[in-house]
Amino acid sequence: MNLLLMEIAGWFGYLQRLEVRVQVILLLLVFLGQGALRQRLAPRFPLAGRPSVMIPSLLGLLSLALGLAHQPWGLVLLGLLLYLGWLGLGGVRQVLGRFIQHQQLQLLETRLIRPAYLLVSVLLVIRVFDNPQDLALIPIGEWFGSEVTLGSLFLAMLTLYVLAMGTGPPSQGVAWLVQRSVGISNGSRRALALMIRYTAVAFGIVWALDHVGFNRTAILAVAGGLSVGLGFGIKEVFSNFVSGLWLLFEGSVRPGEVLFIEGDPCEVRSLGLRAAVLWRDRDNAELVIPNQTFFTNTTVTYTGSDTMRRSQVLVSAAYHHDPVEVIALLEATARSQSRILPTPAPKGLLLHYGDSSIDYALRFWIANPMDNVSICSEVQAGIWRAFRDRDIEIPFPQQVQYQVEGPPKS
Amino acid sequence: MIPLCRRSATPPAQGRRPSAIKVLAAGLAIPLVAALGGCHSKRLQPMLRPLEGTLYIAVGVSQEALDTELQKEVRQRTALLQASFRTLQPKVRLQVQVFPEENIRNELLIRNRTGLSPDLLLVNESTARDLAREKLINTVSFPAAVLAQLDAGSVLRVRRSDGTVTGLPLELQPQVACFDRRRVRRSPATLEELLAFSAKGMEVGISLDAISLAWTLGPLGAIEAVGSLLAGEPATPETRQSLLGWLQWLRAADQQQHVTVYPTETELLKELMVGALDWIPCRSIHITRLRSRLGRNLGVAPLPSGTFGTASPITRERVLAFGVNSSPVQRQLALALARFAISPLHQRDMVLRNQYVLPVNRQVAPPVHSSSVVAAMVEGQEQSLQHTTIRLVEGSSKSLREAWQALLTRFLFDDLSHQDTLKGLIELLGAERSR
Repeated sequence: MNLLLMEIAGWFGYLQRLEVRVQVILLLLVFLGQGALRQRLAPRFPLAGRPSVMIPSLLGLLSLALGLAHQPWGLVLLGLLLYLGWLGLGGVRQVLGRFIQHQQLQLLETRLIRPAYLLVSVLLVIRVFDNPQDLALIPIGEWFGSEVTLGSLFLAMLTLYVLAMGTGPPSQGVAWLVQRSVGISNGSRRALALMIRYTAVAFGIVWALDHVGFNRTAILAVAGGLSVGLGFGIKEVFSNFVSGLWLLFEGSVRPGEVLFIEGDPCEVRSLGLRAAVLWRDRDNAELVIPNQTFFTNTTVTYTGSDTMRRSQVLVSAAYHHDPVEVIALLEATARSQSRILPTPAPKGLLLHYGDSSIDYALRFWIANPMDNVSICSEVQAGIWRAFRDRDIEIPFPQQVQYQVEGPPKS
Repeated sequence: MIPLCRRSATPPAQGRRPSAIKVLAAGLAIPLVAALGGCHSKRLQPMLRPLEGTLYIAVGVSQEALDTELQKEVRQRTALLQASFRTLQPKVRLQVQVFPEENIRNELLIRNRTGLSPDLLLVNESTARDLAREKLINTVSFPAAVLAQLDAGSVLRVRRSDGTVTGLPLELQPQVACFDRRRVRRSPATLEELLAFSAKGMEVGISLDAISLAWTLGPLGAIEAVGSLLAGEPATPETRQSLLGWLQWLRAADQQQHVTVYPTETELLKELMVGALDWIPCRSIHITRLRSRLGRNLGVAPLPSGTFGTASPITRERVLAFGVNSSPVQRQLALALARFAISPLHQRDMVLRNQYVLPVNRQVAPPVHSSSVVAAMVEGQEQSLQHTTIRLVEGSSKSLREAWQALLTRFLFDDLSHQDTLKGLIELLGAERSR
């Protein structure tokens, strides 16, 4: 590690050279002074008011001037190229935006594209000041019985990061291909994509450990010790992770599934390492529920074997209406609703005789469990209209109260 | 009246970027100011004050040999040099960068334009010559008394017509035979013995790389043929005959059960260290690594001779060349370090510390009587001097060496006949001159 720090400290020795100092000062002047220059020039030349025009122009002119004066200009040019590259990422975003959803693009940009660009930029700067191939061979310590070099550790970490962040779209693509060829459901496709991703990351970890050259026996010994630590310390985290994997394989909680949480149907949006994220339609809330909860508690799902849900509305009619006629009317009303499935057929039932009315239930099947509330609303509105057209009365409880005139006189 | 808080109208998202730039700028400015301050304070010091600064040294090594082990060796050698040099210049720091020798030209093309070229380059003499031709390094002049200390042949090769030198010769790395004493009691003295020993079970490794294989040209009488073709002379029946004889020996050796041909010398070293090979030709600088693995079992001897004469190994001459971007202080330091490196003190130290190179300073006599390894190295160097034309092979281009290797590989795999290989070889060597 000392060797690495000394190597980095040694880069500043280049400032002994006048040519290097000149280039660094010019770069500082451009990046620090461009704001003031833009403010002055903007009223006359509107284009000059934009940093994306001003900075590259200044750097380009300075490179040219240094070149014409037969002075080294590479650092200024490097600054220009890196700045142009950064601006170019905006164009990449626009192109990708045509093919990728906004939310995914945002993730891709912030977690992969921009970090990758920054990494390449840093490597380019190091490439100018030092030899990255040479730096990569610098040993940074002896871990698990093997000497770890900077290069192998960096490559291993980079691979893991890219696998963790960048395997989403490819694994989704593979899962989509499987869905097209085998015909699995959307939920299964999402679960498959997640499993492919976990597998890639797991292989990545094994490869990274192997690449760095860790002694496998030492790793096993450490893993044995860690398992005890896991049992006491972070068992909840580990439990949630294992529960998440299990649930994926079992298929009861997969992205796209609809579960009943606290009386509301919720759609599973994602199943992460620690928790599942569910979306509740009622108030557009996202519920973050630890995976372990699904593993230990009863889970009500509407999408286990199929996505249909049987729903019902309750209604009352006055005693003087013929129940057969009322039931027929209820079933006809349900059949007229477009979002109610024709089969299994809607079924009207006389539930019981109430105090002031006969209580009926209309049971029907819907395709999407998340639409239950809105469909029930439509059905009840339809029943009201149908009762009104047939003069069927929906009674309300009537109670006659008699006032007793005080206690009998003794 | 100008509103004082005009900048506050900037949205927060836009306001972040300038601040980030300022942080970055501050990071760059602090060392810059420190450097400027250093310059100022230096002017105030007396003239006799020791020089101070960082000296950047680029070391060229062969691409396939570059690994952690080699890097360690290079850094250790530089640390020794730095430690000795600090007795003269205590405030100097050497920063080493190891590059594949083949890439140094491209590195300098980039670095010279940024002002970040190394102050000193430790490279082969042929590389320094090519770099000087392209003006990628500065040629320098040294007093005649300094150059007079050095090996005359080495000085002759680095001297230019204007009296300057492309670099200052530093050390010689001859080629010798390295073997495992547990399996080989005595290194073969002739090529016939080499094949006879291998027939008895000695595992022999040979590299097809032109520089590494050149030692076989002398004993088999092909050296003049190769030299004349590289010099641009037309192929004669004698040239063809001698080259054909060399090819026939190569084929015969390859057909031996215990002779294995490898693309590069690095593979030979690895195989000898793990015990897969018993005898290989190797460059003296690699003896350190072999010794660390084989210990006392490592044997070193001169390469075998043949019917037509002694072996014709190429001795690498390593020179210190000078970069183009050094500051005046760095240039002074570089010159001082170069002169120190060729001083009898350091050259003797270099040999006595078992760095397995030969000194270029004539005042330093290698201890041939006390060390059989040094004796073998000296004999290897003398063999090189006997075959001066072999230097044309060393100076050949990378593309020629790659084509040479590809051609011989096809020949040994029976993909090409003797005649086709001979024709290809003549074309290849003849074309080098026009290049």
